[in-house]
This record gives sequence, C-alpha cells and structure tokens, in this order.
Amino acid sequence: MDGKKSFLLIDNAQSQHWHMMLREILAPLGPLEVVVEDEAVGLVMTQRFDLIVVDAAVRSVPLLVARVRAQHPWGSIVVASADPSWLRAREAFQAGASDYISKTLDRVETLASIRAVLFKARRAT
Amino acid sequence: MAKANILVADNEPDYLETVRDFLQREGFRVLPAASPAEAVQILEQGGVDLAVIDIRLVNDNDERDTSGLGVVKKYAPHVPKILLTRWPRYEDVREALSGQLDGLPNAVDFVAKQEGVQSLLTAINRALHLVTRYREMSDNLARRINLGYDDARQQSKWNYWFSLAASVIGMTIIFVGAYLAVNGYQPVAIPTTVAGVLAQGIAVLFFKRVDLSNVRIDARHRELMEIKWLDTLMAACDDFSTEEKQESYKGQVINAATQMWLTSGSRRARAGRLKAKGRSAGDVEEGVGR
Repeated sequence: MDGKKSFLLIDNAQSQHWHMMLREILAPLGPLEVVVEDEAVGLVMTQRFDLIVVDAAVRSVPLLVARVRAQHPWGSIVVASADPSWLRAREAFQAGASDYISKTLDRVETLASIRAVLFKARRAT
Repeated sequence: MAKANILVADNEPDYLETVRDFLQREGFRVLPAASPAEAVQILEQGGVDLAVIDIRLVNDNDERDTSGLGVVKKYAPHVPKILLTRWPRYEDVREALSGQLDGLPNAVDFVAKQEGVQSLLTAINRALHLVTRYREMSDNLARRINLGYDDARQQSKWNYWFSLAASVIGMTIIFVGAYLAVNGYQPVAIPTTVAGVLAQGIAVLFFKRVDLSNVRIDARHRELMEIKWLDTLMAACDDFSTEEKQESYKGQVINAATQMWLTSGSRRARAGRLKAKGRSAGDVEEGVGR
C-alpha cells in the first residue's frame, strides 16, 4: 500500500464547487493545496507534489505547464478545462502535460482520470 | 536521395494524393496506404522513418471508426507516428499524446486536416528532427558506453588474473618454505617463506586494483547518464514554439546542470579527501548534524 500523496491545484478562478469536489475525492489519497498562478512556480521549486492540477483558466497554460515541468521533470501534471478543446489539449501536451481532462463535476470520472495518471506515472518509473 | 521515408495512410484518395505530391516536392519518399491493412503491411515491411495516419481509416462518416488509432497502437512501436483527422476532438488528442503504461504516448503529434499541408509538414519536420537527434544521441551514447565498458572490463580482467596468479605463486612458495623448514633446511626456508608472503602482498595490491576498476566502471556510467539527461533536456527545449523560449529554457537547463556538476564534483573531491583520511563523508555529515 502506498503512503499519502500530495496534490497541488493551480487555479486563479475561485470555483469553490470544483475545489471542494477535488479536495473531497482526493482526501483518501492525500492533502490538496490550492494556489494561484503567481504563487505556483515558487512553490513547486521548493516542494514536491505527486500530482499537479492546472486549471485551464490560467493566463497561459502552455507557459505555466512548461515552467512547472521544468521543476518537476518526472512529476504528473494534469490540465483541467471547463471548456475542453483539441487545440488547447495539443498545446498542453506539447508543453509537457501528462493529461488534459474535462473539468467536470462528475466525481467518478475525475477520480478515475487522476488515478489513471498516478498509475501510469508509477508504472513508467 | 529522399530526406525520409514517410508512410501516409488515409482512405480519402484526394487528400492522400495531395499530401503525397506535396511531401514528394519537399524531398520525402511517400509510401501511401488507403486502408488499415495496407498501412500495417508497409509498417511490417520496415524502412519507415515516420508514419502519418488518419484516425478514421475505414469509414469517414462513422464516428466510432478509430481503425487508424488501432494501427498506431498495435504496430511498429519504434516508428514515430503523427495522427491525422478531419474531425479533431480533445479525447482523440488525449488518446494520441498522453503517456501510456510504458510512459510513452501513442503518437508524437496530432494534426487536423483543416490546418493544411503546411502544418502537417511542420509537424513532420519537428518529429523527424527530434527522432534524428535522439537516435544520434543514443548511438553516440551506446558507442561510448561500450568503449568505456570494454576498457574498464579488460583492465579489471587482467588485474584479476594477475592477482590470482600472484596469490597462487605466493601460497606455493609459502608451502615450499614450510616443507623446507620441517625437513631442516632453515637457511633456505626463511627467505622462501618471506618471498611467499611478499607475493601474497602483491596479490592483495592487485585485488585492490580490481576494486578500483569496478569503481571506474560505476563512475563512467554515472557520467554518461548525466550527459544523457542533459542532451535529452536540450533536445526537449528545441520543441518550444519560439526561439526566445528555446533559449530561455536551454539557459535554465545549462545552469541547473552546471550547478549539479559543480556540487557533485566538490562532493566527490571531499569524499576522496575523507577517504584518504580513513573517514566516510557520511561520518562527517552525521557529525555536523549532531
């Protein structure tokens, strides 16, 4: 059995429903820290996270993902979008995202996506 | 001579012909396929540098047709692939570009037909550039690992045989000395035994050299891995869209690598100095901690 994981959500918007849902579904796996975009890069330089969720509403997803990826070369980064599009998904992957998911309020779907990313990361290492 | 052999698989004859003509004008050799079976056949024949495969390879009007994706997933995993579609969806991008269980994505890029052949060409050039760079890097690395390994193993082997021979000779001389002493030839027995002990001492020195050779093999491996990491990161920087970003990230990579090498270099030197004094670095760090 694995130990507790640590999660980070980078989100400028104050979408409380999404934050709460994410915190609740991740609670059995580990704690979730929520920061805004400007604080994120500084935080990932000093702290390691098993999974970083980037809200697609940040100013520039590719730039932020690339900057986070530079600090976490082997970590998992998931971009969550309320309005997913194939172009933005491609940009996110090209910048170094591990996955691009729909910011749905469906708990089962969100948890399944996150678990899949964590599982793949564990298998790949 | 063609720049590269590119498999283009699409069941739309007009599009296939347009892409084939365009890529041939750009200097590529195009291997066209109009169905999954043809694509698989070409992939299995070998000699394909890159594959461009349409997702709906059987029926363009069938949303559930993902036969092209099936070909990408199942065949020739060593061939980089670009997925092509007229109906791009983010789910397909996920399927194409997210890492699978082995950590690698199914495809290296995803292009919509609406973006035009020029975008496809950009994606092809980018993929080939990365592939060429990775292949050169890994070939060069493999060559260097083999050379370093062979050299260190050869040295280790010779040291081992020398030490074994010296040890056997030493033991034999000691036994002869003991035999002579028992039979009353003390004046000859004493120098013989001393010579045997000296031979054993030489054997021990050679065994220490074997240890040093093994340490050298480890060090060579570590250095090669560090070089590989740096090369991989530098190649990844080329994938950024603007030169400004590429330069900025290359600068960060070089800074990080320099810091790592300087830190590990000084740590190794310190460990060497401590070893010479008969203490391990761990002992000192524990002492500092206390």
